[in-house]
Amino acid sequence: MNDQDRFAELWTDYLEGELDEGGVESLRQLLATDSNLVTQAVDLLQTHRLLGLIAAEDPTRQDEFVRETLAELPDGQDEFVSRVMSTVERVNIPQEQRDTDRASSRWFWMTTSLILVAGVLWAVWPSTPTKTVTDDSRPNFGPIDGSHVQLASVAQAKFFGELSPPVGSTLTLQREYVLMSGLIKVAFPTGASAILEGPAVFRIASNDSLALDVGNCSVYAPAGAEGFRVETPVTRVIDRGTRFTVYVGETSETEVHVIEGAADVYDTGRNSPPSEESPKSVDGGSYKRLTVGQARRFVDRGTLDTDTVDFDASFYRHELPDRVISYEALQASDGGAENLKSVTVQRGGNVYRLPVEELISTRVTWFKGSEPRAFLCGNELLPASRLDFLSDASLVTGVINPDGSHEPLTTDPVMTGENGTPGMAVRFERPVVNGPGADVVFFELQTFVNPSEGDAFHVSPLSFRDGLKSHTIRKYDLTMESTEAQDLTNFYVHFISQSVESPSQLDGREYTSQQQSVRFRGLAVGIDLSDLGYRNGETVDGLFFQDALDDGHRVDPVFVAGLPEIK
Amino acid sequence: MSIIAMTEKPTSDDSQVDEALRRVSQGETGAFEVILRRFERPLRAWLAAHVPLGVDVDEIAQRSFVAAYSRLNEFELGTNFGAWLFTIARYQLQTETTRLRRIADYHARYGPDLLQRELDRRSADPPEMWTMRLKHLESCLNTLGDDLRRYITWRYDIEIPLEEMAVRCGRSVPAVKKQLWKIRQKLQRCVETRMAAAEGGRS
Repeated sequence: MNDQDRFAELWTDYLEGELDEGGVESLRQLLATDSNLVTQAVDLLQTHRLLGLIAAEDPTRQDEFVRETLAELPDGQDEFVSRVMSTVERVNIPQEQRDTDRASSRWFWMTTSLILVAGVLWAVWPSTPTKTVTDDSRPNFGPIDGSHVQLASVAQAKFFGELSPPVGSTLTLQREYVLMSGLIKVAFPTGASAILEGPAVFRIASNDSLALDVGNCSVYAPAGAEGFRVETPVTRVIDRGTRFTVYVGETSETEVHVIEGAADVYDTGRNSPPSEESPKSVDGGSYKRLTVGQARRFVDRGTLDTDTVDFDASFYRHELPDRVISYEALQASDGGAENLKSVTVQRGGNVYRLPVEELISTRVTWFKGSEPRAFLCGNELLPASRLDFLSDASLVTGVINPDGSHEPLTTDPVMTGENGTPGMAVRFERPVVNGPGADVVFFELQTFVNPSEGDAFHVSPLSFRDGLKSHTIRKYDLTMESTEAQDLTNFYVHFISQSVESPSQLDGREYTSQQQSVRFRGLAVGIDLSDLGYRNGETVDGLFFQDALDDGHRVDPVFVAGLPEIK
Repeated sequence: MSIIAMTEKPTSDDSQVDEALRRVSQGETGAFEVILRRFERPLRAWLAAHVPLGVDVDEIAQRSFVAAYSRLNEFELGTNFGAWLFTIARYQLQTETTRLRRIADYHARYGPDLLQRELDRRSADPPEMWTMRLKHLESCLNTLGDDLRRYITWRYDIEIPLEEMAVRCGRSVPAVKKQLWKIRQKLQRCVETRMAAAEGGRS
């Protein structure tokens, strides 16, 4: 390793706070021998500092700095500062921000008008591929509607006795929601947000408080949302700055982990006397302040007795996982979705809306179905090339019911002859680059008598090497219970009365058709090539799919495509 | 509005500053808010680039403003308040640096004193240069592709640990560090190029 490489390593460790004493000494010696390195180090240090400054920029930050500095002015200014601070506390929103809010309101109407105009133009204009990128990783997003608590996003969320409310809908105050599994993000008008992880039972107590009876939530309260509260059966946790996690167990014990800033934990009982360790608060209750890196478990109501628990930053969820968020499809005459128009995915924390034209299409290169079944679905009459069914944009044409295996593949699939591997292989029109999050989208059609989470399947490399493995999908990102999964238009299934042991047989066998009489929905899941062991940036030419044979239902792929590389 | 604009020719901003200073000197303390809002960002940018390692920028910025307020009777109205404020800030910085040098294990904890000497040397640079650098850095950030920009978001905006970054991007921690090194260098080069172009444009 030469001096420059060594310097790069040491200096990065230094900026990341990971340089130990030995490293500091090595760095000192390196800098002493080369003044250019000193210049380079300080250049990078200053850039690093300015990056921190840019990241800290926030509309309310200046207000905060001004308030704090005014409060620090020497004696004689007390009255003035008190007057300013009392106004700030009473109004809770600086004048500048109120002006911004009014401006935002005007902006909202202007934007709405523009969207309407754009929508009309879009409807009459020839479609061109577009990609919109938004950043969902920043927790301090503004709510869609500034006056209500809203469901901001969902990931595989399943509610007890009901479907998940649609994303963007208003959550009802004081209504009990039971999140059985999955995750949701709730946005409050103050700018605070909470990610709840199922199983959880919660209520929206007010526009700035959440009541959590059971479960886990990660709270982010940016500047302006201080004072956001999480009420649990035994405590009230009040935000005093940015991020914390609250976990409520089945017996109501409450665990609080503070990731950033501080949180005050009050007991909700009224009879507990304040102690030295539990100082009285302004409203007469007692509280404990937890600061960054601290964690406590509060065991009972009416007391702030705590158990020590190890602080664990990993409890905190910064964002929902990468996933297929939704898709758009053109409707057929019966009102059902037919042709895919775009798919919206979160990759590496960022949200992308990808028009179907930008996706990397696939072609079926191997298919084996050893028992007579319906292997194709689509229109009444099959086209000349049935194998195109998987690559066209239609969500009701597909190559369905491939064979499978209980155990996923560990060696290369055989894709010739009668001893070929059960399942289906596809090749991408061009290599797919493994990037953050999902790299491939997989759609199947499903009806209500099928597994609601989607038909499980294995996905494997076409060619194994050290480090590569199969991956099994058991739950789709958009399930039968997702409001984003759309009802499909009617279609036909085509039965082939013989086994199919090659793509050419699939293309040539006689078939009989039957129109479906029940409603199907389009489910979708993203496949992350990293889950198969591919390295970041590695390219992949194709994949092998097998039903997981976990039940009597086979997987029904109707659209599989690679996602374009993130640049 | 950058300090460059302020120091090169009088602007309406300057007249607002003069007016605010006049009101403060007449006892209207609230007018000092105008001063704080006008100079807060350039002062923090300059301090961010020069404060000793391990020192809070906001703390020194606040001390500088408080000192300026306390000594306002020494300031001659009508002269360049920005230059006067930065002189005070430079003294505050020196005081802090001296204090830290006297702490026995400061350099053992925070690194080679060669760095601090270079930082000290650079503190003589014109303050307005740092407002420009900050502006260029913001522009350079906008030229980064999403794949690189996410590292900046993770590192500086949401401040997640390297291990979590590695998980999110499916790479090893050493690979993430290398990526951060490359991105910082890229941004550094971009800022230098833009500064040079701006210099060329002015000359």
